[in-house]
Amino acid sequence: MARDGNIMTMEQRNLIMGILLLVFAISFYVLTYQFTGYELEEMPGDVGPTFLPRLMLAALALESTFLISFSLRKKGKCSPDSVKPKPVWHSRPIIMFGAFLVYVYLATLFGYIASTIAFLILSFYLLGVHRVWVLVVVPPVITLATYYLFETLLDVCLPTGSIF
Amino acid sequence: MFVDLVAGWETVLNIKLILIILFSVPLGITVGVLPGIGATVGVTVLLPLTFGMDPVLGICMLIAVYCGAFYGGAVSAILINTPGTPAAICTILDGYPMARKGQAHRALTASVVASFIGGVFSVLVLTFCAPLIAKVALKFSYTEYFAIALFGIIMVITSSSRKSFLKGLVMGTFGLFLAGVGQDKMGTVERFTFGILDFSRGIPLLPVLVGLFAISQALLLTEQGARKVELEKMEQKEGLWNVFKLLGKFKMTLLKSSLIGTGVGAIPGTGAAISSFVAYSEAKRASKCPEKFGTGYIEGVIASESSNNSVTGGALIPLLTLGIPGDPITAVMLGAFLVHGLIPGPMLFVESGPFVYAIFATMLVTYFLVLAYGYFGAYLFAAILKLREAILVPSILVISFIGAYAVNSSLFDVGLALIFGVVGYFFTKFEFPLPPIVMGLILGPIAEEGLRQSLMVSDGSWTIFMTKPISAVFLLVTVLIMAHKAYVLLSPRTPPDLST
Repeated sequence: MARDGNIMTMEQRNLIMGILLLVFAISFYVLTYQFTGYELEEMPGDVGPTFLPRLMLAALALESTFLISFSLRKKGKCSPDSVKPKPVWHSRPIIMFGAFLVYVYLATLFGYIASTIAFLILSFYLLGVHRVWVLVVVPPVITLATYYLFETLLDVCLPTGSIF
Repeated sequence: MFVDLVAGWETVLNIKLILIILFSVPLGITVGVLPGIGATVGVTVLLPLTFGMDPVLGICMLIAVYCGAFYGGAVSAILINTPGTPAAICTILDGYPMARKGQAHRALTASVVASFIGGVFSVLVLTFCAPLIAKVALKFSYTEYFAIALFGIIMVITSSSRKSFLKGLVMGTFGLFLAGVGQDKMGTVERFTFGILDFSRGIPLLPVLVGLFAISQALLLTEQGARKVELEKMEQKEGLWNVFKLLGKFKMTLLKSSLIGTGVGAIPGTGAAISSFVAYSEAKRASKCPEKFGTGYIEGVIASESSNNSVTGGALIPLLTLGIPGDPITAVMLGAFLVHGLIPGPMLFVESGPFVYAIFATMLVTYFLVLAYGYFGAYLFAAILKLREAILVPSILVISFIGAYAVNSSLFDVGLALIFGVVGYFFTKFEFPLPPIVMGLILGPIAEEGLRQSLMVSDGSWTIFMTKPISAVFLLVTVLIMAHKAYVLLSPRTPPDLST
């Protein structure tokens, strides 16, 4: 499993996440100066609608700085995490997520039943189910059972499309 | 109270609701049995089933799933040495060795009886204590709510960040930031909406829950590949009555563990895993044969299971009386309440008393059913452990899609769930805990409104939070926890390894 992933130590991960969060916090802090709308300024004592977002973004920036600083200080030093770098991502979840994304799009185009059957067959196959009878029987059963349960019994609206 | 209690039971003793509970309990046990699914993911995934239901039926169904899942974790802990839920972590210590000795059925029976007793105990405490707490909470002002919300967030950060408090703090702060998205509740200021109308009402809770707990978990499960499950055999059968009699010998352990579970559960941010550890340690300390613990001793299973199941009633106390969830599962339950147009808190007891008591009655009925299903269906639930991820993961994704889409028939919500699914996946890979995000998102608006309203009342004076005893105590504890964690994190003797 490890060979198809991106190998990183925990310090490298913390460093990357720290930098990303710091950039995020600073960018959104700047955006707080562009809030639009009517503010109840006349209320005495009120800290206003920008107070909490700014406070949280400042705190996030500070915490990210600590995260970066601790990661840099520990970088190169021996630790259990450093010894065993782990893959950050694997190919299977990415493929699975891609398939799910396409499924969501197709569900709005072709409808719940057609797209769900197709998604289930594809994802079962991708995840290692290769028995033909399982691929033929289980996806339609799950799809029709959920459709009947939600749409008919529970009155929950499911996407309808050009097919069904 | 008595009138509401009777009305609550009348609601539950309805054939439709009984059928729903009969169907939901095994569903709950099933999600608890499956490692990697657990109560939080299970309740999140099953939430869409309730959308079309009457609110009472829907919430009672989820309550039954919630209680069932807590027991389910013990089955996999005993049979495959893997806890189905974190709550069953201590059940492994003696449950699995019992199974290795050929006493799997005895361990399972003891666990279901202990779960039943712990669960019933906590429901009784909930039934009699919650209305009293709600009565006190009716007098709370914004100041108290601000303090309790802040305390709740810090407790969840502390409990879910055992590897790194800093990472938990980052996630809690991120959650509080997310709570600030949308139109300001006390004016019309648009905050981070980027002109998108859907963002004006804030970030909806349900897609976040579905993304963080269901989609990200499904993606993580795909990494594991095919799991080879080797079940311990259940050759020696144990009679239910024999186990009840056997448990009579450990009545003090049962009582203490149930008390610990209910008490710990009632504290926001603690949860079943902590209560299980505390009860197990206490049972070992007080036992006449502490050396037997960890070798397949039935008292260990009893302590762990009675305490983790008694958390269910305890955890509902802050949710129902204050509207403040104490852990991710009750956060999902809060989402369910909101989807059905119900707002938990002291007013719920005033406005919907029979409904609240129907919840309590449902829990009681559920635990009787857990006992029946757990004893007679042990073989069936064991067989569920053989269900492959290849079937499970796509099914979770399909139901997640329905869950995110169905509330508003909105693709915007599905998009949010997808984004939070990816965010949750990477945060988990980077070992950042997810529960603080949800708690920040839920408690953020309560904290912000509490802060602003209190300051307006006090004309901008921050001392208002110290003049009211309840808020002063909660804030003081919060500050002490933060100060302790900051000291440990920044102490020169502690290596900066983010492990504080």
